[in-house]
Amino acid sequence: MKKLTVVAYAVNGSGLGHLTRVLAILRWVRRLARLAGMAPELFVLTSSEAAGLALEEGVAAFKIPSKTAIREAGLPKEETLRLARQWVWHSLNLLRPGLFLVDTFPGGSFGELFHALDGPGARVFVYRAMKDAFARQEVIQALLPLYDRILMPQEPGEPARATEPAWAPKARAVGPIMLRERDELRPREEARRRLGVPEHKRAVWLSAGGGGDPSAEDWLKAAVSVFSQEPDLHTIIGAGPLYRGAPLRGPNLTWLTSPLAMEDFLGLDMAFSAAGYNSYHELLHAGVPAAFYGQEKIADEQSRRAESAARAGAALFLPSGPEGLPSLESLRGALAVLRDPSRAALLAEAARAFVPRNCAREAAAEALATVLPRAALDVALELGTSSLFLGLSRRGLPIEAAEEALSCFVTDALSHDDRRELIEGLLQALPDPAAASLRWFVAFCKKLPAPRDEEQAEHLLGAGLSVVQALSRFEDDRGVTSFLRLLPNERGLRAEELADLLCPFLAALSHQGESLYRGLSVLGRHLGPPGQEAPLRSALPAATAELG
Amino acid sequence: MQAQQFVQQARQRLNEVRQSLDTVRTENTELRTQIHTLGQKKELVLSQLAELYLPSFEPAVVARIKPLTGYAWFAQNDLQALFANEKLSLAREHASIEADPDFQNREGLLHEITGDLVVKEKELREQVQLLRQEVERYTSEPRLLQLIEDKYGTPEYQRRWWDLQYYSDWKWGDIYTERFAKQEFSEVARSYESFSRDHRTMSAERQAISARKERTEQLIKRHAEIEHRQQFHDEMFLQDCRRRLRDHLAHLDREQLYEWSKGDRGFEAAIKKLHGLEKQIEYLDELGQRQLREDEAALNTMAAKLQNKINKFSRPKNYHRVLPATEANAWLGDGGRRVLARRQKFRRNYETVVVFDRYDSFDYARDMLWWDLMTDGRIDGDFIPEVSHWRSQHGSYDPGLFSSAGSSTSSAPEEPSLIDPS
Repeated sequence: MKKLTVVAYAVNGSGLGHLTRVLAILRWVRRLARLAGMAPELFVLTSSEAAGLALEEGVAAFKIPSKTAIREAGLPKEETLRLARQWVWHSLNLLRPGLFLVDTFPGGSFGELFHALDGPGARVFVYRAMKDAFARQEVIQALLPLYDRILMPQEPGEPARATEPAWAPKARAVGPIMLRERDELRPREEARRRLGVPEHKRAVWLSAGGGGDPSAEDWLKAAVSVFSQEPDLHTIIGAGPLYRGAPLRGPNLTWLTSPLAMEDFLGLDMAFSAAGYNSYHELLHAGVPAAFYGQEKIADEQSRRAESAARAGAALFLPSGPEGLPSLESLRGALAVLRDPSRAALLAEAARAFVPRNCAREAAAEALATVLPRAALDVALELGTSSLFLGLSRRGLPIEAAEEALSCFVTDALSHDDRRELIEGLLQALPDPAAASLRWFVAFCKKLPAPRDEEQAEHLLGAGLSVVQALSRFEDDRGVTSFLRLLPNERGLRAEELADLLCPFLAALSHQGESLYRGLSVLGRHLGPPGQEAPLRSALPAATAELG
Repeated sequence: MQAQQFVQQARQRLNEVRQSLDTVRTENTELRTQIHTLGQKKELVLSQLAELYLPSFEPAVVARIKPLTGYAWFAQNDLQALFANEKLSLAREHASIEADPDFQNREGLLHEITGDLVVKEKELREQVQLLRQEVERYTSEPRLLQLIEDKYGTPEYQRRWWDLQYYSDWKWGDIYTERFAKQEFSEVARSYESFSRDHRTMSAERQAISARKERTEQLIKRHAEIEHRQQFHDEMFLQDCRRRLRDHLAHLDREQLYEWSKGDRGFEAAIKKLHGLEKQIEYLDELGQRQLREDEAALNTMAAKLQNKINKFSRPKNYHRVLPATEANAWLGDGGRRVLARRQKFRRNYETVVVFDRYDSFDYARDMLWWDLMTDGRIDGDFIPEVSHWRSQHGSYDPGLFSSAGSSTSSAPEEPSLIDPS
């Protein structure tokens, strides 16, 4: 497989939005690139103190100190700036990315990318929505044309953002980019168990975004003081990985700092959150009835974002007071609304409709289009749907498993859609342990010629599953592997015919308490000497008869 | 070089190549024989291993089979019950055979000279033979059979005078009537049907007699088998169980088996010997496949080329040609000397592998190759897939690896421990 080095740049954004966006895109880049026949190597250059999120997503992170860390360590600013620039240049020089993905700062947070953009094979910029004054800076506008593709995550309820002639042909509008699809979220009961919510309580999500905002601690304390007076509420505080204030723990409280809290959002009954990019889109996409307020940021217009959802009836807006936080009265008012089941249900439905899709896959496809042949990318998109990866994830299987399974159904008569559907059916039906069962299935398929049409493919699937079921009774992975390896290839039988001969043989072995190794010996006697083997059509029934 | 001179030298070279080919083929035969011998040794060791695991049916012995070999059959089946059931089944079958009238009268039925079935079968065979000859007189005439099928000479005959076939049938009907010395064709047909019927009847009778004879012979054979098995039931049942275990051991991963069985010197040594023999067979087979086949192919090509040149320059029109010396020498080649030099390398490799018998030196605790142990790392084995794959993962041979590779991990109880307990 051809190697593809992808480096993402997420340095000095505020909050977690920049890091989660690039990681969400990289997640799909990995999937689609593999299906397109590439071997992706993924790296992220970041300063975020939540760099552990990269580890969660299987991306290697190179980290420099954040501005906060530099300030608190008392390091000289100029010297650190020089160090940071050199670090980025040297990292890019060493890694030599075929695809370079940059979020928020097209010239880099330190202006260092201007001198480095000629190195990578292809350059993609994530031009997220920001305050107009910030977006209009020359350090941003002048550098956009240097990118091969400009992804513009469009926020729901907002008008399409303007482009400039210098880079308009390279611009691609996509929807919100998140780390997880709605289908990937844990079911409600499991989520509530994980969040520690007692059965009879309502789960309230409380968040200040990624946790790095100076007002985070004040907001959390204020909100907890309101919710703690409501005995039917259990508050889950999503403090975020950047939070550095005092943790709040006690009765009816769950304290979380994980950046992947979204996976349990289906367990929530309501939410009160800052309208940061991640919190906002994740809560709405999950259909959690929510009230948002806006934190003051250099580039991010959180209040505008929160108002947009409120206008659409998808959420409640909590206006900020003079201290920059919502008042306790507005909090209580919102709580009263969200307690109303019918209002909450309407908000939930509107929220799901407001943010219906996670567009990380589309963003990854656009990025990969700069380095992959169109035909290969099209195949990857047809095969690599959310449902396929959801199936893999539910069975605890890596993407390589999908590749192996797909190899069993390579035929011109099958469309990529057909192949994918077959694999999804296979993933659902595999007995546990899924990884071993899938290996056995592939080994069985390799004994037979490739299916020539859809009907043969379906028969192969059914036959393979029945043989795998029969083999799983032995609970002997090594034995099964040996058995399938030594079973002669069969070109004269159809898949279902082979299964019809093999399954009774395996059942006889299993019924007698015999091992697969003994089965090989018995079968071997009926097959005869190498070079003069009898066909399986006669050898298997004879071996089955011998076993009784 | 004169063409005649070239032809003379080429013939000489061709002889040399053919001798080399004979050498290669002889070595191939020797290799196959050696592989066969090792195979027999391996089968013997496998049987010995099965016997080692199952020396008797003592409960403690049977109970340890699963943990030592992974074979669960003994744990899941009641051996005493199986033994008792078989004993009962044999007794019943024995009684049933002895009660069979044909078995009781076997001497009278099957005596080679006076046996009823023997005599009858012989008679019927002769009669069937005669009848077949008669029937064949008719069946060898396809037109005759067609006339009979069309019911010529009977009221059921369909053809009429305006049908040309009618006249043809008439003509052949007369021919056959005369040939078979009958008055009318209908007599011919009746005669054929009579012979056919008798032939079928006699054949069926003969088949029935043959079947009964065969059945009686089977009863006698089975009776003897049962009595033999009853006489040596204990031992034979044990042998059956050992064979069953042997079947399981035949394909079991050796490393896995060692892992289960380690701690007992006897098992360890037997497993290593078994594994080592299998590897010797595998490596010799690869040597044969790769080196012998390639050398044979190269020599065949050489011989074919020389023969072509000999044929060409032996023709009268080329008789007086003068050939450039460099070309002539190139065509003559080296008579397979380079191939023979390679044969020496093959010989060394082959003998190194064949004579190896330090099976106990293999250490499963280390990541090592049997090939390196057998050859002490002196022979490049990259043509063997296992070796090539191992090298790609682990790099080249490390001589230090085997300097401390030891015998089986456990000490025999009577030997002093190598480890200082202090």
